[in-house]
Amino acid sequence: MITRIACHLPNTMLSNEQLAVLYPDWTAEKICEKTGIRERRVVAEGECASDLAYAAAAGLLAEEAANNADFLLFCTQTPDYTLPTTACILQHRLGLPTSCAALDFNLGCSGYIYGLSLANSLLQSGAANKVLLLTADTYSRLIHPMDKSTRTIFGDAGTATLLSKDSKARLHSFVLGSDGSGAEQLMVKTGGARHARADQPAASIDDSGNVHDPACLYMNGPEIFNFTIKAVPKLVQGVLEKAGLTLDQVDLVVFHQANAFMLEHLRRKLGIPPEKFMVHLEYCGNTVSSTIPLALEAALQTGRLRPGMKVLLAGFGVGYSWGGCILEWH
Amino acid sequence: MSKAQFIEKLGAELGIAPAKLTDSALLKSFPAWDSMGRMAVVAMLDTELGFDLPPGGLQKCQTVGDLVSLVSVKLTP
Repeated sequence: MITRIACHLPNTMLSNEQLAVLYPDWTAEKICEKTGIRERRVVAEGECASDLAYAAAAGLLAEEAANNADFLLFCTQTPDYTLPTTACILQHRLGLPTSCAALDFNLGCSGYIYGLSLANSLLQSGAANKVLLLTADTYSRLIHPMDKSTRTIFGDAGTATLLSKDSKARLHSFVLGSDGSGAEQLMVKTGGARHARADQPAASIDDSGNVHDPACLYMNGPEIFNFTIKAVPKLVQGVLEKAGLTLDQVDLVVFHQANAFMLEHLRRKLGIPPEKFMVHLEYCGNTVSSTIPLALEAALQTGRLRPGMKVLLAGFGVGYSWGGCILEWH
Repeated sequence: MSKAQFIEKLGAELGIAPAKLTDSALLKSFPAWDSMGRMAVVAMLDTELGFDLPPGGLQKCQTVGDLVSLVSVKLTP
């Protein structure tokens, strides 16, 4: 089903050296050691998620005959506007025909897998012939500058994946899940309809010196890590069982690139050999729903993903939400 | 694993001398008890103890003693 993947990172770079100036108890090397990230890209003033998605898609449309995509799916948690849906703006900006359906969906770390699942279902049902799946987020705009627990981790990015009935690359064995009991562990409390900023407490400083403002991204890293330890092994097992495969029969594993520490723990826990496991966040950070397509593009460019390979994809995080599937690349 | 061995492993994860990890020691008094430090402890509980940490379990721990009580089912007397 997947025909092509294209990615775009914004121009502005935020290095560990720049962050270490702000957080004097951390060095650039310590940030890298703890997160596996050396630098991340962040949007400039006025640059939005749709700009990142547009840049990724424009590159792809220039190469492929994708101008007849009849379904556009846009995964973002940082839309340009509360309304209208950003996907409609992208349909127009990309010059896609007005017969193209377009919708946003709000998911983070699991979003790419959900997007693949939706696209796969649309193609298999005959509701669409060519789906353009876009992901983009600008978490940097949600992060308080003095919250090192999030600012060291997240980067901005956009990706575009073209899925077509004609492609030989197959997607199957989807397993999806959600558990809203973890909603508060990764959250921007205000900005939606539930809480007005004025009703919420003022910004506070935690014991590690991180500033928490209800208008900014809050992440309880250890709690989310504990969730992944429980959820991801079950997810991987579920996908393998559905596909009738063992882990040995999988050629490459691409997880959501949360941070290097979490990835390494999950890799060891599941017994995945390093050569079969993609780690791709050193120069882009955790880009939320864009991490998996970014890693797939890197795998293609470096020859780690080759025709005939079976790839296990898994995304997990904010929501809580998770999803996994098998990609047979051709 | 005995309590002493657990305290030793906790100290190794946080870079703190085990002698300082008394039952009454406040976890938040240690600079290493930050987000990444707590993640390292979650990993250690999983790998070394096979402990099924309940959601919110770590947040309820104020002292080293609270943490020891939390995982006591996995510690030998």
